[in-house]
Amino acid sequence: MGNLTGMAVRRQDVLAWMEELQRVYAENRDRLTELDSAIGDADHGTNMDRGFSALKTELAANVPADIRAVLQTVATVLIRTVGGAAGPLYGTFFLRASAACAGKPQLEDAEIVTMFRAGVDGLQARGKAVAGDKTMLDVLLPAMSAMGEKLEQGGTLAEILAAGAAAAEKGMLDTIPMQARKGRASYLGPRSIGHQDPGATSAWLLLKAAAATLVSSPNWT
Amino acid sequence: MIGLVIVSHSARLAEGVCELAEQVAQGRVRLAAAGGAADPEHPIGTDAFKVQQAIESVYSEDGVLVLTDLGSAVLSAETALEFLEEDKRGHVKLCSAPLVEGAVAAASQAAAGASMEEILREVEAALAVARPVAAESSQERLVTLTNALGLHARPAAKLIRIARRFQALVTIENVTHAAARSKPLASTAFSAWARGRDIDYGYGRTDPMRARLSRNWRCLLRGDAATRTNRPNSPNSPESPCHRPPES
Repeated sequence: MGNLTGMAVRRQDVLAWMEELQRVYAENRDRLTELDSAIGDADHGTNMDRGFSALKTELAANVPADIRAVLQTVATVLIRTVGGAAGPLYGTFFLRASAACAGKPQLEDAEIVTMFRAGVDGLQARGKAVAGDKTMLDVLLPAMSAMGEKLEQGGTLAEILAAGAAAAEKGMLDTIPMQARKGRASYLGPRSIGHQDPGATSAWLLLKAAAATLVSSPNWT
Repeated sequence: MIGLVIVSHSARLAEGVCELAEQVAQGRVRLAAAGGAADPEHPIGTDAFKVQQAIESVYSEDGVLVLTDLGSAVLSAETALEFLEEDKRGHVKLCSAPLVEGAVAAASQAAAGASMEEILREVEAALAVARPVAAESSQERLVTLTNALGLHARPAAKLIRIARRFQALVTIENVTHAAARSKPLASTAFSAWARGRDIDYGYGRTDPMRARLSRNWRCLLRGDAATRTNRPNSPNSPESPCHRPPES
C-alpha cells in the first residue's frame, strides 16, 4: 500500500449517486407529478423518472471512463429524454459540472463544491431565474451558500453535503408562499402561491441523494 | 443561403410550419424542422441535439434563424447553441416571434434576399405594434383589391420581393377594417385580404422608385397575375410580377 494523500470522490461514487437518483425519482414520480399538476403541466415526475431510467440503461451498457465522462453522459441522456424545461436545465447543470471535472481522475472536497457551483451557475444562466422566482434555484442557491460556508469552516465532505441538503430542504419549503415568476407556473400569477414548486422539489432530491452517496474515500497513491 | 430552423414540441407542427414557409421560400431558403423529443413513446417535447442537427443541416455563414414555439423550446435551442462550434455560434440567431407568422415572414424576407439583420428586424417588427407611417416623410395611395382570393400568402410574398427592390419603407393598411393597424409589409404575409377591400399604402424616397413600385404593386393587386406567378408550371415568367404590359 502506498501513501495516504487525502480523501477523494471517485468515479464509482458518482455512479452510486446516479443510481440513487434513479431510485429516488422513480419513488417520487407520483409526488412530483402531483406537485406539477397543481401549478404546471403534470409531467415533472414522469419526465424525471424517464430521464434517469434511460440513464440507468445507458450506464449499464457503457461505463464512461472518468467522472467527467459520467457527468457528460448524464447531461446528454437528460437533454434527450426528459422533455420539458427540466431536460435542458438539468442537462446544462450536469454539462457544466462535467466541464469542471476535466482532467481530474478523482475529486477532492473543494473540487466537489466547485463542480456543484459550476452546474448551478450554468443552470441559472440557462433558465435566467433569480432567487425568489419559485424555481429550482430557490433550492440550489441557498444550498451552494451553505456548502461553501461549510467548506470554509473546514467541514468534511459529508458535513458539506449534509449542510447543502438541509439548506435545500428549507429552500424547497420556502417556495410554498412564493408567487411564480418563471416557467409555466408564472402564468397562474397569484394562484401559484401556496404550492410547493415541483422543480425545487426535484432539485432537493438531487442534493439529498448526493449527501447520501458521495463519500470521500482515503486516497492512496 | 439563409437557414431557418423551426423548433416545436410537436414533430408534426414543426414539419407543418416548414411546409408553410416553403410556400414562400421557393427554394431560396434552407428549412429544417426540429420537432418533438427523442423518446417515441413520449414524443411531445424538444431535444437540444435535434435542434443542433437541424442547425448544422442548414448552416452557412449567411446565418441561421431559429424560431421556437413554447417555453422549453427556447431552453433547448439555447442549449443547442452550446454544442455548436464556436465560430458557427455567432451566425445563429434565436427569435421568439410567433412561430407561424414569424416563419413565413422570415422565409419571405430571406427568399427576397434580405440579410440576417434585416430579417430579424422585420420579424421583430411583425411582433411589435407597428407605428403609423409619418405623414410628412411618406406618400399614400388608396388601392382596391380586386383579386378574387385577396392578398394571400404567396402574392404577399411576391409583393415583399418587389418592395425590397426599392429603398422604401412600405406599409399597408386595411382601411375597411377600422381596427386594423398599419403594419410593415412582412407582417401582411398571412393576413387575409378579401376581395373589394380598400387598402392604403404609403412609401417614401424618390420618384422613379415610387413610380415603378406603384406600377408593379397595382398590377399585383389587380391581377390574377399575383396568384399565378408563383405556380411552378405557370406559362408566365415566374420572375416577373406582371405578365401583362405594365401601365404607363
